[in-house]
Amino acid sequence: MMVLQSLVPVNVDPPGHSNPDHPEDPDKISLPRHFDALWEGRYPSDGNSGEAPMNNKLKVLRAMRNWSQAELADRLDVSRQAVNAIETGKYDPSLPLAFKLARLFDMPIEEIFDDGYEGNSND
Amino acid sequence: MTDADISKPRRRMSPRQKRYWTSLGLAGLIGGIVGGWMVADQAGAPHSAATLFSGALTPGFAIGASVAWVIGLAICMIIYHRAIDDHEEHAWLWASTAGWYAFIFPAPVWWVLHRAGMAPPADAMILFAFSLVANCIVYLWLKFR
Repeated sequence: MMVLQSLVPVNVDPPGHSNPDHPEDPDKISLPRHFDALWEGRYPSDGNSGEAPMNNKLKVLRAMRNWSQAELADRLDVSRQAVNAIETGKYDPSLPLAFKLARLFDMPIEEIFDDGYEGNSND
Repeated sequence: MTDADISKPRRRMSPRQKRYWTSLGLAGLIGGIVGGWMVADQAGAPHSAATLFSGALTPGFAIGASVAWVIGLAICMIIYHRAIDDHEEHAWLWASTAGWYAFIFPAPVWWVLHRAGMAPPADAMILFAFSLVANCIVYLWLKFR
């Protein structure tokens, strides 16, 4: 398990970047980079906006259980595209879906999702 | 799906997935029936793309197709929106916004250009198609990128 965790990056691709580590995503479509650039303006990946997508450990947690994206999607009753979009940081789940994930993995939400905020201890 | 059974994988379609595919299947069926009916309604007219999209239609077809479109679309959309997950809802909402912008930007421009004698009269179906194409592109991009 430790080896797996060291091999699989916890972080995910920022939005707008290609996703070569997802060959299992056959129906992935690509549009001209302008679209991604436009979207990047709304969801910048530099962490300077409150609307930046969160990092998450979904891919690691799924790999630790040897589940495919489709299996995880079945367990959550969402589409496989939804799981892929969350894993790759292209979509942040709703609060109900985040709670569902937390219950499924038996972990607090904040251990699955990380917004990158590093406030001081006085906050 | 209750919290108790989220730990069990399912191979069969969930009720949500059944509703989802029912809505899409019903929409496809209604579209196929209306399209086939339109072709049959114009069977006597010379066949070409121009006559198919702008030729005269019988009142019976016009009323029937309108009822099928409005009622059928409403039923399909109610089922669809009760079935989609929040990722697809997100894609749908942004696609709808793009479709709306694809209408409100060109429509007034076309209208004033026509009033100044610089363009033909605004064509509602061209604006509808443009809006639909914008909607489809954004939806597919957000859903499958």
